[in-house]
Amino acid sequence: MSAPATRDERIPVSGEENVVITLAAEGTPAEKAIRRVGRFGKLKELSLGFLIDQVLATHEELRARGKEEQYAAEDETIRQVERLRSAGWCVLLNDSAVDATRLDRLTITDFVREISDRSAKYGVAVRIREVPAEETSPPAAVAEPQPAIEAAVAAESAVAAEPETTVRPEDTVGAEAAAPASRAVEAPAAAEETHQKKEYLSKHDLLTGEYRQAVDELNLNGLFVGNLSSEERMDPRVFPFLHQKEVSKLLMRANRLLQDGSCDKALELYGLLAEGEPENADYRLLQGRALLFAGEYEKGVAVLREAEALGEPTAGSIARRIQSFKSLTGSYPATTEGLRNLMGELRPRE
Amino acid sequence: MRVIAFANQKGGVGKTTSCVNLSICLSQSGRRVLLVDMDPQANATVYLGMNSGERTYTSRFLLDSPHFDLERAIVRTEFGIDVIPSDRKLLESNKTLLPEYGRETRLRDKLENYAEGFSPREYDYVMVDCAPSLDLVTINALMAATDLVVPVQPRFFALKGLEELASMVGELYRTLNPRVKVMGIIITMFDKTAALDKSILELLKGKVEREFGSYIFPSVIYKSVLVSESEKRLPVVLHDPEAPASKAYQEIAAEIMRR
Repeated sequence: MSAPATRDERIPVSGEENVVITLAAEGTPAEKAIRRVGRFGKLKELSLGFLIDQVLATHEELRARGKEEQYAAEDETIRQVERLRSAGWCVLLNDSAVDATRLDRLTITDFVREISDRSAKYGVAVRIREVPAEETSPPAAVAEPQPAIEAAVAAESAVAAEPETTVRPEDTVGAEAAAPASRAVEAPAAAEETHQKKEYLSKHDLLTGEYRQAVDELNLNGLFVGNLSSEERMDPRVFPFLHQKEVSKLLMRANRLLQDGSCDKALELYGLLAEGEPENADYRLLQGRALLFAGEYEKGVAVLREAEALGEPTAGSIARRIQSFKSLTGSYPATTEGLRNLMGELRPRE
Repeated sequence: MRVIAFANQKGGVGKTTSCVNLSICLSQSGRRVLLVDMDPQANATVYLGMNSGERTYTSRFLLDSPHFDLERAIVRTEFGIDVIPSDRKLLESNKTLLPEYGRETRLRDKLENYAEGFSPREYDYVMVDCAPSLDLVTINALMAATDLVVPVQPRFFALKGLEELASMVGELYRTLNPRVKVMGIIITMFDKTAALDKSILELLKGKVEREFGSYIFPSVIYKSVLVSESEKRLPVVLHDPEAPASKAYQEIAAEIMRR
């Protein structure tokens, strides 16, 4: 962990700020207040960086154009963010990156650094307000994940919620973080470049966040069995879908590889078989045997023991013989002759 | 001869439209194409200007009669492709096939015999339009296919249908060991004005590319009134070759020839 930089070093302070970002801990009155005034969809999937950019860019865009009303009318999202800002509110950053219940000095410092860099980019002054986690609030690790941050707001609601979000810099986690918490900061003006990029929270982003998990959880493995099984390296996901003929082919290929001395490749295939059918003692035995041939005696013995536990007595006797060689001579390489004989017995036949 | 099945358990995702238009595009590129309509709804048959039920020999005969000559069911069309039409009676094949030996591979056997025998016309592509179900008729199509194209609408329920198809195709691999491989997923009815479509396309593309590879065709078929209207007239690639949907189909056909 790098030494935290203070905000004083990084961000010049001015008396005025035009974007305010509030941090609030999950489960605190502040968070509830912000949530109450919000009516955005789920934002938890959105990154911290995106949110910051979105707030800053939106504001900059509005400021630069000098026709806030007209512009805001074009886009509901921008309007909502603008209303947030004008109400003295901002965005609740409930992202895991800024999970306020876990904020420590470094996290805050990193966060401030991020804000500093981005605000410099947009030429926007930023004030950060922190609302500390209350002692009574449940720890984030235990708490159910909140459905999200819902920003955007009717100004009157925001005003109504204001008292709950008292800025108490002296209570923030860590003195270093607390000191600059209520300071206004202003980044160097670089307004010229800021017109190039317009970033704001779109419906597309919200929907992407909302559907991401559902799409990621789709199981499409079955569709691609024919494609994956033809590859040299088979994907373990397809194993449950393989036809017995294909499994036999796989087994024969592994045996052939072992005969030819390609232990690593054989091991890969035996591993796939064992992974595909974890309860199959034969596959465990074969995997254990391949490990012995690969010189990985410890692992081999362990796998053979597993095979024995699954009901394969041969595996147990091989494991015991290997271990007896070791106990006689102290190490596996020293058991050459006995081991060689055993390996001769184990070698797969044509 | 490549046999490409167009399948998706979800109905109304553009299987028939894609199958017919891509068949015509392939034909326009100089490939010899046979379209086998394996959907009892016979939409592809109607799409290609035939009335469902007017033909004596349909795809049902390929499944029901072991010794039926495939050649007899082929109809030459004005669109440059040959068709084996379908009709509602194809549904009955699910019953008649049930006690039969080799019931899952009837279509495959017919196509193989046709390709190996004295064929008056050799086909580069056999395009099989499947029904939105996984019954014996569709299993025959999948068992006959060398490639599978899955049209998908970028909607949540369509993705759930895709997952169901994946599960059933996986089961097919486990039990019948088909030779079919996924050629690609076609995104159909993409509404560029709908944020949801964009989101789902982005997520699906990310997932498939991350887990399996580049299986989503880069060209998407945009939702278009023209495509819908063309169903009763001409296939859109003939009706308006310059339309975005036609262009997309032409690009996908080129991609199919490359894959």
